[in-house]
This record gives sequence, C-alpha cells and structure tokens, in this order.
Amino acid sequence: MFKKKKQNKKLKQEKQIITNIKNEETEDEFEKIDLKVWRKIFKILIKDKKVIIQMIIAVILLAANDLIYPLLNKYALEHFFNDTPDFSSKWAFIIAYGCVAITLGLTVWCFIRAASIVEENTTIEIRKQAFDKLQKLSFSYYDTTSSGWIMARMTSDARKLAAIISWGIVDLLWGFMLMIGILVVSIIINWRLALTLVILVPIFLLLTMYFRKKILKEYRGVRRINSEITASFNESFMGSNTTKTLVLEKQNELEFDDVITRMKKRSVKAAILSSIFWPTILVIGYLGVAIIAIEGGKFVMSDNLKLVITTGTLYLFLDYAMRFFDPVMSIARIISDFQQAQASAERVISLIETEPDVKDSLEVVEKYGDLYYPKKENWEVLFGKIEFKNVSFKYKGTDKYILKDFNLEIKQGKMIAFVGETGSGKSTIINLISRFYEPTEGEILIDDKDYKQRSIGWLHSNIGYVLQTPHLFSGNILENVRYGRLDASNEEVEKACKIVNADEFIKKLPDGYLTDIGEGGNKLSIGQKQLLSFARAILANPKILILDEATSSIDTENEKLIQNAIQTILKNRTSLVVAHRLSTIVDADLIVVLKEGKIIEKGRHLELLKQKGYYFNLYKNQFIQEIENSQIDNV
Amino acid sequence: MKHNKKGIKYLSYLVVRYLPMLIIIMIMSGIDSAAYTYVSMFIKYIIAVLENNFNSVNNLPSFVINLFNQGETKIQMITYAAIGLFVFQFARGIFKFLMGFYRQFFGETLAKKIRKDMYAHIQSLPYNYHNNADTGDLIQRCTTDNETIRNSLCSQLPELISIFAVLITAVMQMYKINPLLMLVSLIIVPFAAITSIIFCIYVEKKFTIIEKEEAKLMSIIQENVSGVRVVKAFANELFEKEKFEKQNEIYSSKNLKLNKLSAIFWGISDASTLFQYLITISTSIFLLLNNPGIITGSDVVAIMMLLSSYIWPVRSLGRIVSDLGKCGVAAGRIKEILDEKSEYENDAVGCYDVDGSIVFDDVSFKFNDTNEHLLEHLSFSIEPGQTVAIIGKTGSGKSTIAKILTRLVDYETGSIKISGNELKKFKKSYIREKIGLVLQEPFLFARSVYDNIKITDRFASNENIIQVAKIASIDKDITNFENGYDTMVGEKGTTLSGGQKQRLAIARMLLKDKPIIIFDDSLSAVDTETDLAIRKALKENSHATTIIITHRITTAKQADKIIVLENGRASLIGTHEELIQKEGLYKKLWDIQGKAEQEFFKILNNEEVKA
Repeated sequence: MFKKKKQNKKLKQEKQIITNIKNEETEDEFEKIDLKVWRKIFKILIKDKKVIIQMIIAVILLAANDLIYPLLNKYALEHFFNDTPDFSSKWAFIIAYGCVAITLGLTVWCFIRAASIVEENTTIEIRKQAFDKLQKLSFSYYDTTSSGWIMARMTSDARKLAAIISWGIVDLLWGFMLMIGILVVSIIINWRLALTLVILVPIFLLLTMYFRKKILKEYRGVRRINSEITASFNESFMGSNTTKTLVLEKQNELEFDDVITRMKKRSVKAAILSSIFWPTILVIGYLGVAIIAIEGGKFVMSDNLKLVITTGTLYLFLDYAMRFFDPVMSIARIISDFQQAQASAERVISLIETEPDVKDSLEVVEKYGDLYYPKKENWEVLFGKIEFKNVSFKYKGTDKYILKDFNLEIKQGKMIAFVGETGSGKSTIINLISRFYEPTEGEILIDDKDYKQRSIGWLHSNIGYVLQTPHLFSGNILENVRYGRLDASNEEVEKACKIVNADEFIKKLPDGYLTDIGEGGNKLSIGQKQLLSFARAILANPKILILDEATSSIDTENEKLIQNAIQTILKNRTSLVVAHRLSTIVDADLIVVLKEGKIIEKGRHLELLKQKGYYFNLYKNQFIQEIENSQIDNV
Repeated sequence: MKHNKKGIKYLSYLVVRYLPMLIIIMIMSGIDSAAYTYVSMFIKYIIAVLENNFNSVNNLPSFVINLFNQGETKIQMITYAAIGLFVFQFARGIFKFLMGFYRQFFGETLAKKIRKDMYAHIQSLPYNYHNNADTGDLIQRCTTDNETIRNSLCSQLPELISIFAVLITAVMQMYKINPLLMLVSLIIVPFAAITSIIFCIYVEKKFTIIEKEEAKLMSIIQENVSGVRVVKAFANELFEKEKFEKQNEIYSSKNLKLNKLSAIFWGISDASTLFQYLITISTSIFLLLNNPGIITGSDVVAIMMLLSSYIWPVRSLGRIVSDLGKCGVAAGRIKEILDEKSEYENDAVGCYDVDGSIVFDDVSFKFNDTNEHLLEHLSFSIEPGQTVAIIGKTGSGKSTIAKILTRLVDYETGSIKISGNELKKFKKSYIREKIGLVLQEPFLFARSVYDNIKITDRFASNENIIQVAKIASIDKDITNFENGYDTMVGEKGTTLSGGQKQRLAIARMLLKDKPIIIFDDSLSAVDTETDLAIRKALKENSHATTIIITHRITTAKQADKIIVLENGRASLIGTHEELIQKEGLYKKLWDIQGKAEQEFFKILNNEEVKA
C-alpha cells in the first residue's frame, strides 16, 4: 500500500516544487509535538466528521486486508500445496480470495477518495479562514507582516497541514493497524517466533527517525546552497549589462564555480547518508527473516506437539517479516512529519486567531452592522468635516510619538495639501483619517462626532483613496473601475473614465473596456494605471478623497492628462492630498507644512512663500528641479 | 515539438558525454533488480527442505545449492540457507549503497555541468537578448529544467532498466519452475503497464489545468494582500471574500475530481493485482488436480514471490514514462538558451592603446527587429581629456551612443575611431575595460557596499575604496548606514535610493583608471548640488575623456563641448556660450530654465501665478 500512496504523492510533490519556487518557503526545524496545537487545528479545520470516519474505517479495512491475504496464502499452502493435498475447499478458497480482492479494490478506492476529500476540505478551510481574517485585520498587521509571509501560510503551510491531516493520518493509522495486526496474529499463532518481530519494531522506528532527521538536515543545507545558485542565476540576468560593462564575466564565473562545487560536495555528502539508510533497513530486516527461518524451521520439525507449526505458518511468518518494515517505517515517517509540521500548525493558528487592532465596538456593530452585513439603512450622510482634537499617535510597541497633541480642522469641501519630508507625519495623518489606524490619544471627529462612534464600513464607503503607486487587480478595465462602486452600470463606468480622460486610450485597446490588463494591471503603463485608479475613485463618488501623489514623473503625454484628472477629481469634496506636484499645491485651499509630526507652517501658497520660511526653501528646490527634469521632453 | 527536437539533441549530447557513467549505473540497476528475484530461491530452498522435496527446481547457482546441501541435518541445511540469504542481502545492501551513492554522484556531476555551461553562456549572451528576456522563465529553465533532466537520467532511466531486468529475470525463473504458471502470471503485465501509462499521461494533462487554477487563486490572494489599502478604502472586503471563495472552490473541486479519479484507478489496479495472485494460485490448484506432484509448495511460494517482485515496478511504469517525457521538453528549453548566439562570436582581437580621442563619422544604428534608426548619420569628434555633454530628449538616441562605444551593440554603417583605431577592431572585453560606463539604473550585487565597489578591482586597497567613494559623494551616505561599508545591498539587503545606487556605481567604476568615462544619464537621480560636487571632484582626480549623457541643462552647461542630439542626429555642437546664441533646442531649454527662475521671483513679488 505504501508504494501506491507514494506514487500518488509523488505526483503531488512535483506540483509543489513548481509552486515553491514562487513562494517564500519556510524551512522548519523538528519540534516537539504539542497536542494542544493539533487539537485546536482539528477543531478549527475539521467541519465534516463523516468523511474522517469514512477515511478511518477504510484505512482499518485496508490494514486488515494486508493482514488477511497472507493468511489465505498460508491456507493454500497448508491445504493444497503439500504432500497430502485436500482440494475439497478449493471453490470456497477461490471465492474467498476473490472477495478479498474486491474488498481491497473498494477499500483502496474509498480511502483515497476520503483522504482526498479531507485534504481538499482542510486546504479550503485554512485558506478560507485565513483570507476571511485577512479582510478583517487592520493595517498595523500588514505593516509588520510581509506579503511573502502571508502567502506562505496560504500555500505551503496550508498544503502541508492538509496533507498531514489526510494522508499523514491515513499512513499513520494504516502503519499502526498493520503493525499491531501482524504482531497480534503472529503472537497468537506462535509467540516465540513473533518475538523477533517485536524486537524489530523499536529498531526500525528509531533507525528511521534518526536517519530521517539527519537526511532532512543534510538536504536543508543542500537547498540553502541551491537557493544561492538560483540567486546567482538571477543576478546573471538582472545584472547582465553591469557585468558586461564592468567586464566581470570571468570573476563571476569563478565565483559561480565555487558555489556549484560546494553544492556538489554537499549533495554528495548528503547522498552518502541517504544511500546508507535503505540498505541498512533492508539488511536488518533480512536478519530478522533469517532468524525466523532458522527458528521456524526448528519448530516445523519439532516433535513437541505444542510447538510444532506447518510450513504454511512458517511461510506466513517469513512473508510478514519481509514486509514488516513498511508499516513501521511509515509510522516513523509520519511522526517526524508531524514534528516538522508543528511550526506550520502554530503559524496558521496564530494567523487565524489574530485580533484586529482597529475594530468597531459592539454597540456600533449593533447599529451600523459589520463588514459583511452592513446595516446601510442606519448610516448617516457624511458631509466631510474633519477635526483632529489633541491627537497623539505612536505605533504599537514603540515609544516614539509620530504625532503629539495634533490639532487640525478641515472644513467640508476644502482641499488640503500636506507637505513635508519623509517621516514628517503626512502619511500617518492620512492613515488616521482613513481609520487604518486609530489615535493613541485624543479623537478625530467627522461631522463633529468621534469617528469611532460610527462603523468602519460607513467611513470607508464614503472615502475615496488614490495611491501613489496605483494598485489594480487582474481582470479587465471594466471590472477594475467598477471596483470603486460595485453596483455601477457600464455607462457609469464609461462616464467616470471619460471624466479623467482615460476613455481615449481605453477605446484604442483591442477589446476596449473588456481588455484584460494582466496581473496587477501590468499590461498598462504607470500613467494609464494612474488614470484608471482616478476613474475608480470618481465612480465611488466619495465625500472625502485622499490622494497620495506619485513622486516619479510619468511620460509627458499622460502627465498632462493626470494633472487635468486631479483637478476634476478634487472638486466638490473634502480632499486631502499628500502633495508633490506643483499644480496641486498651488491650488490648495490650505497647505499644511509638517515637520516631525508638528505643523510648522500653515496657509495658502502665496502667504507661505512670503514668509520665506521652511516652505519657501522646500518649494524653491523642488520647483527648479522639477522643471529641469521634465521640461526637456516638453520643448 | 520544436523543444522536443532540440531536447533530443541535447540529451544525446549529454548521454554521449557521460556514457561510461551512465552505462555503469544502468548495469548496476539491472544487476541489483535481477539479484532481487533470487531472494525467492532461498525461501524456496528452505520450504522445499522442510517439505522433503530435496530435488525441487532451484535457480541458485549449483555451487550454492551444494554448499547448503552439505548440511547434515535438515535444520543445518535450513540454517545454511538462512545465513546464505542474510549474506546475500548484506552484499546486496552494500551494492545498493554503492549504487545509490554513485547515482547521486553522477546526478550532481551532470547538474553541475549543465549549471556551469548555462551560467557561462548566459553571461556571454548579447545585450539585446538580455534586454528582451523573461527572467522568471529563464531562471526556471536554469533550475527546474536542469533538475528534471538530472532526475530522468540518474533515477528514472535506471528505474526503467530495473523494471525490465526484474521482469526478464523473474520470467526466466518462473519458466524453469513451470512454463504454464509463468504464462498465467504474466496476464496482468500488459494490462497494468498500459493503464498506468494512460492514467499518468492523463493526470499530467489535468495537472497543467489545475495549476492554472491555482495560479489564479494565488494571484487573488497576492493582489488582495498587496492592495489591502485599496480593498479597505473602497470597503470591498465582502466582494473580495466572495471572489476568493469562488476561486478557492473551483480550484479545490478540480483537484478533488482528479483525486477521485485516481482513487478509482488505484482501486481497480489493486484489486486486479490480487486477482492475478488468485489466477496464479487457482491455476496451480488445477494443475495439481490433474497432475498430482507436478509442482510443490515451494514452487508456488517462489512463483508468488517472483510475481510480486515485478507487479509493483510494472505498475509504476506510467509515472516513469510520463516523467521521461517531460525530460525531453526540459532539455529542449535548456538547449534553446545554449543555442542563442554568444556576443563573442562576433568579436575582434585588437588591443590598441587608448588615449581618449573619439571620432564618430556618419554613424547609423538600428536594432534588427525595428525599422526605426536610433542614430542616423551621426558625426562628431572628441579630443583626449575633454569633457563632452550629450543632451537630448528621451528617445533621441543618447544612450545608444554609450552602448555602441562599449560594443554592447554594434553600429551598422559609418565609422567610429578610438585613438585612431576602428572600434569594431577592438576586442570587446578590452574596450570595456578601457571605457568606464555608468548606467542610469546600475545593478548592485548581493553583497556588502564595500565588496560592491571592490568588484572592479579585487586587489584595491582600503584607502582607494574610500577615496573613490568620496569622489562619488557616497562616502557620507555609507558611513551613515548602521553597518557602514559592511551594509548588505542588492536582492535581500538594504534598499538604496536611486541616487545612492548611481553614486555607488560611479565609485566602483572609478576604482580602476580609465582613459574614457561615460555617464549614461547616471546623475539623473542625484540632486543638482551633489551632481556638481561629483563632477568637480572628478575633474580634480581624473584626466580621462568624460562623456556625460544627460537631459539636465545644468549638468551639460560646463562641458568643453556640448552635443545636442535630436532624432539620432547631432543638431548642434558647441560650447554653452556658443549654443545659447543659436536658435534651437538648447537655447529653448536654457530660456525655460531662466524663465523658471524668473517666474519664481515673480511669484514672490505677488504677481499672478501661472499654474
């Protein structure tokens, strides 16, 4: 049975190799198995107990099958193939054998089917719960957790856990049942002969576990060098121009040669260990076979009626002994698999059990509904007045305040530009207004009411957000713009695109609005992506619009379109801009100049320039440079 | 199909090259598997002795049988046979170890060879190839495809051999015991082999579909995680959840469907194996019924053991065949890279002195795959030690000049003379050593800042390295890093700003004296003041001919000669003073620059703002 499962798995593993390249794979050490963690995993992940039971029954039957057909062979030897054959029971025997064969087919079908269902259900469930949690988690989580880490939980950990909960348990149970079965049957038949088998159990178990750990450790080292090789190949592609112009080919080749030589040495070393393992088991196993043959032979010829056994019985013992390492090794393998998956289980639990930092209070949920079931009928109209009242903010787990006693009033329908260096607190203000974070102290009022008294969904439904680097989703243009308001009609989408002048380039595309824009919108230029993200924000028609302007210059043609789009989009709503473009700054109703979390200057453009202070210098440097950088292509 | 043809070519090259090793491995696999079938003969002997069939057929060499027969009692004979079996398996264990080790050794040798060839070849591929390459796909070829070939040659091929070896030996042994039983026991072979192959090929096909569904699922998660701001800001969590769950179901159900199918396949396959046992046993029973004594219990035991020795390998035939099939494609994908022409196939041998003079005479250039000329009839000359600025719009062909001078690409018509010698006659690596080119987007290697500078001269002293860092105005930035010069950069290291990268690249270029230095827009991300400081320090420390390619007029201003490039032609050549007198692009730019400053002061004077 072992081999079949292995084959099935082998197909799976190949699939995994491919995905592993794409994802950040974590290498786990062997850890102690913590049953609490696993109990939790089972509680969280196993929704359908029926299939599990089905799977367990099938596996037990399977082990029984593996136990029974050698007994049938024994029967045949004892009755048909000896000096005094008795063929009377031949038909019964043949029918019984046929029944065993059919049962075997059915149990195999049943156990693979059930284990597959368990595996898939578990993967679905892990992904589903993790994804669900990811939607609810607040921003602080994403700031401290890399997307690679999250992806690894959803891919390699999910797969590892699902595999161990389905195939792992199948293997473990099968190995355990068959091992116990063989021992019990042989002890009943002849406990003296069974002794050899009993002694072999701990030897096989310990050897397998020892070798497995050693081998995995060795191959971990091999894989580490392997990732160095991949990195070298990557550099040879990414840095090809630099390599050529600096004439580094020879040197690179020497260094690469060093890495691949190390790889070979290390792999060959690992090969010694893995090549020893199987022959060792084999030799020990056959030592057992030899002992049983000798001892059994004595019993066959024994005169003691109590001790005497048939040749068929001896054959049964030999048969069992020759196959005994299969179940025992399977048990050892799964135990070490569980040890290795321990870390995965802990990580998945930690993700699923993380509580979001920003969430609505129970009263708020009661009145306004939650993320998935909003009670829109209770939502008030948002007008767009924003007020910071003695707001202080620091990141969780740090001591440094980014904002301290910050006060600012933003009138409804005005456009505010935030200006300042990186780290001055611009983005923190934006994040606080969007309630991606909440103030550590003080409060933020929207329409004169603390925004914590209304739901996050209410606020977000009224906020539009345009990012520095536009983020689009796979799919077509229509879907992407409609992301701003899911119930918008095609006409409304087109209208929004026309407003930001995106309509023109869209119509030129082969499939117009239905053009597939590739993963993350990569088939479009940055300028075009920017325009679409504007259209998306327009469609949402938010009361408050947040614009995080791009610093890098875009191709000239789109630059003009984007400037116009910004003008249009900011009209008639409260808008907050992290400003880099001159035109945007100049038009602002209020410019807030920030330094180290404090407002150092505040006013309209000309007023600030006249002060000849911080803003004056900032503006001067930026202005001149911007003209220099962009004008040449406009001439 | 194109891949397959190339793949077979490459595979046969590898096979021929490693023929001795490959043959040894295949012979070893064959011997090991054939030997395995003899285990049944030891058991057969023991059973035969116990059943008093001392003359029963045994395929062990007669000297072995004679040895066992020297036992005086039955118990002694059995003991000898059992010890014999253990010794036999012990020897096989050692043989297995040697074989396993040698196989891995061969695999590593092979993989290393492919890696080495590919790396060297990739480095020698021309600029144009790298410019259009899909890196992800190429890396997959260098790693996964290499692995596929290695596995095919060092494990699947030997496995295939061992299947045949086991089958042939077992059949031969069965024949000696009873030809009829042999025939009957072979019934399952064609059935198992064919269904297994068909099934595995089918699974392989389905996997590609399932993989696509998985990729879709992954990109939904990826985009959700990286676009969390957008999701939250538009309050689209529910929409995302539904989108995800739909794809999650689709992917899993396809996977499950295939697994359910394989459950049926394995169920039938396992049942048929037992039926084969049943057929063999029943045939034995009826044989005995009609011809009592024609076979013994030990014969049946041996036949059953021989049967099970090949039944498993035959059933895994499908997997091996489908894996071997992939090997051809993988080899083809690798061969495709190796067949690309190296840029050194078109090289010269000249190593003439370079004093720094450059003369372009009627030079034109275009890439092979376009009709648009990037340079057209371009002529100009540069004296040794001069600083020359080349200014032009995006797409005017500025950067092409740098690529042509370093022979990353070759000009078509016209002539370029460096210190009086035709550029095309220079050896590529030689001229690149003489010309220091700093790219606009330089690549930093995954190592420390210090080693990144040192990369151009492994014997450079500490002082030298710090000196060039100072000239490039990057020294202060580096000492401000937490780990100073030991700060790791590149792929997994600290992210440097565009300007810092450019300055680091300047420093590393300066480490070796060069008669010609080219800045290919490589001060674009550096602010105006630092730009000036770098150029000043350069002038003090180097006498090289310096070509500055830029779009910034303040950078060009102080050059000894300014070349204004428009549509691949030099529209104007002269000094700053000369050019601002002439109508043209340069004057326009200069005027705008002036206007910008004027406007700024106008604003201060409270006049109308023009946005």
